[in-house]
Amino acid sequence: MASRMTSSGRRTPPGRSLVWLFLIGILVFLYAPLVPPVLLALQDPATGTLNVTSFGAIAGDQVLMGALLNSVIRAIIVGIAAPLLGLAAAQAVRAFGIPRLIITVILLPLFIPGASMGVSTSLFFKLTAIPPSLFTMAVVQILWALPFAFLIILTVMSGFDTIYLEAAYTSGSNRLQAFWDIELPQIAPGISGAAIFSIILSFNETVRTAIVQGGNNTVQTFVWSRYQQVGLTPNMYALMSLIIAVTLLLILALVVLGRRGQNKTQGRAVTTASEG
Amino acid sequence: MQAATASAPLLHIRTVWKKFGDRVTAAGVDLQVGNGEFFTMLGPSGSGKSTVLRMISGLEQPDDGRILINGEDVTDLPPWKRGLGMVFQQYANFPHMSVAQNIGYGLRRSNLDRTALRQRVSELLDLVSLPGFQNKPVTQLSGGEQQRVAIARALAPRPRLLLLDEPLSALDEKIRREMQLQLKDIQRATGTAFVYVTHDQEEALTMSDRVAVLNWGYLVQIDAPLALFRQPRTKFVAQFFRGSNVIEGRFTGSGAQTVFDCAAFRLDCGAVDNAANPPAVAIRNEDIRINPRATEHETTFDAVLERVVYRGIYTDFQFKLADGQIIVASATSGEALDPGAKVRLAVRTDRIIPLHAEPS
Repeated sequence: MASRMTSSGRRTPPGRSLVWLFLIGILVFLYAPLVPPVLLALQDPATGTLNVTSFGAIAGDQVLMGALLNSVIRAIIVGIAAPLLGLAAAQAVRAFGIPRLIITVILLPLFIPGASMGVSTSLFFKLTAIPPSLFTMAVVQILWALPFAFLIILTVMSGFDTIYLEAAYTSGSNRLQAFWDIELPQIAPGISGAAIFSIILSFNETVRTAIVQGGNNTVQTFVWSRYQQVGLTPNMYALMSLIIAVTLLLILALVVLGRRGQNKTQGRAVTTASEG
Repeated sequence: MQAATASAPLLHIRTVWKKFGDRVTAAGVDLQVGNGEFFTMLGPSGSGKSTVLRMISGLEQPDDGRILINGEDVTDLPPWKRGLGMVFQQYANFPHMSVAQNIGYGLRRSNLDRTALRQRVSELLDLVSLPGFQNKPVTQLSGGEQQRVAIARALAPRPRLLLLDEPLSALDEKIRREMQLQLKDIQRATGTAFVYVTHDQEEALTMSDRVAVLNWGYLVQIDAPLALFRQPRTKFVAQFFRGSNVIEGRFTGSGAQTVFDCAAFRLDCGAVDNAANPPAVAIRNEDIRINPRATEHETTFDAVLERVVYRGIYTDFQFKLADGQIIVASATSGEALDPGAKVRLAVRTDRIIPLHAEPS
């Protein structure tokens, strides 16, 4: 009797294996398309043997290297500007009595299709006689990244109790000092998360950027135009493999940051709870 | 610290009004607090006590009225320019700082060098009985310890006035009682005036030099704890301090010959202005004696025992008066009485307190 109970207790419920099956199916669906470029990049197209010459060829492509430099500069600008603007907007949500209106206004551009947004921005630049440049590309990418950066910072700020600011004010700190000394250190994980997310968005953005790019390339507009003009080459495979790897690493950094932020707040919650 | 203007009180709140939407949280509140005083604002939630405190601190702005500190009008100054300290119910210690960093936070602009700063932090930790806690992270302290750190932080820059907003409400009963006495000690040791907000009558009576009772934004009564306890001004105050009977009746006579008359007894009130309507008196439970040999200073009346409630140290005897009103007497000795018993009750006549109307 006892043994029968044990064996039945250990048996995996039938639903469990089904869940695993679904999970594996979803993972295959998500990640299978990423595998061929990596395999093809490592294969010599002539002999079919394993080598890394395609990766080496990337460095030799002057146009691509220029595009990469552009992408990096842009990502830095967007990675700084979008979180700062997002922070300002999130502060406004808390400070003014109209949070819904501000949130809606900031998030609305997110729902405008990329090409439409790009075209209208391009038109705006034309009317204001601003020539296509790194600046115009940075502007459309900031417009694109801002709602995301804003949402991330807003979420972290909603976990910040403003009583700390009141404690700082009554300790003799003005608004700026209180923000700098007390709030910023506590919402820093959200701001760095927003920065990393903005960098990824800037790097990935293609449609809006392509419309205002003028003569400048980013890695994405380069890949897009090269694909349309030349098609797939081993160099493209290598480039895509690199981009996939870098993106996954950045996302990993984001997850780690998120966990650290969570641990901090959880630690606080535990101490508060233990006081009963 | 700046020198006090000769005659000006430390804190003077002058007819301050504040509304949140339709809710009035301060209705012409007028009060003064003196140097070194432990002043408490007592009231139920929604009475406006915290709002008044926050207006003193500068965290809220009054709609009307002025707030003066040492005679200086601070109504339009932001909190960081008022030179006050504040302690919050939720402690509000900065979680990313150590105990010493928290306490030192208010001292940054005091031009103390490192040694002096360390010295001051250690003095404050001694004051709040947390010696050696400098380098502990605040998040790892117990509630009572956290609140003591918050008190040390607020006192660090030697504020003119310390504001405390229900500082003990988040603590459990035992710690709360210890902290009441400790707070009183800290207040005496520093000589700083405390303005303390609480909804707990025992807390108010234990620590305060004077207590202001607030209700619906109105200041109902300001008195020393004993006077407040013995001579409630209104029905609200009488009932807020548990253990008081409010007996309703009517007035006969008028002017200086006004007499309070209920089914049980009559009481000469003299002239009563702004009396409660309907007329009422307060009698504390412990002031009622059961079947006594009455003296000439006592008022006596008949009642029927309804029920007996044993409360440990004392016993509550619930009586019905001739007109059906209930009156409760508390006695420490167990009277051998059964429900239905007809008894004679006696109260010192000066302990029957005619009540005034609630402010409005």
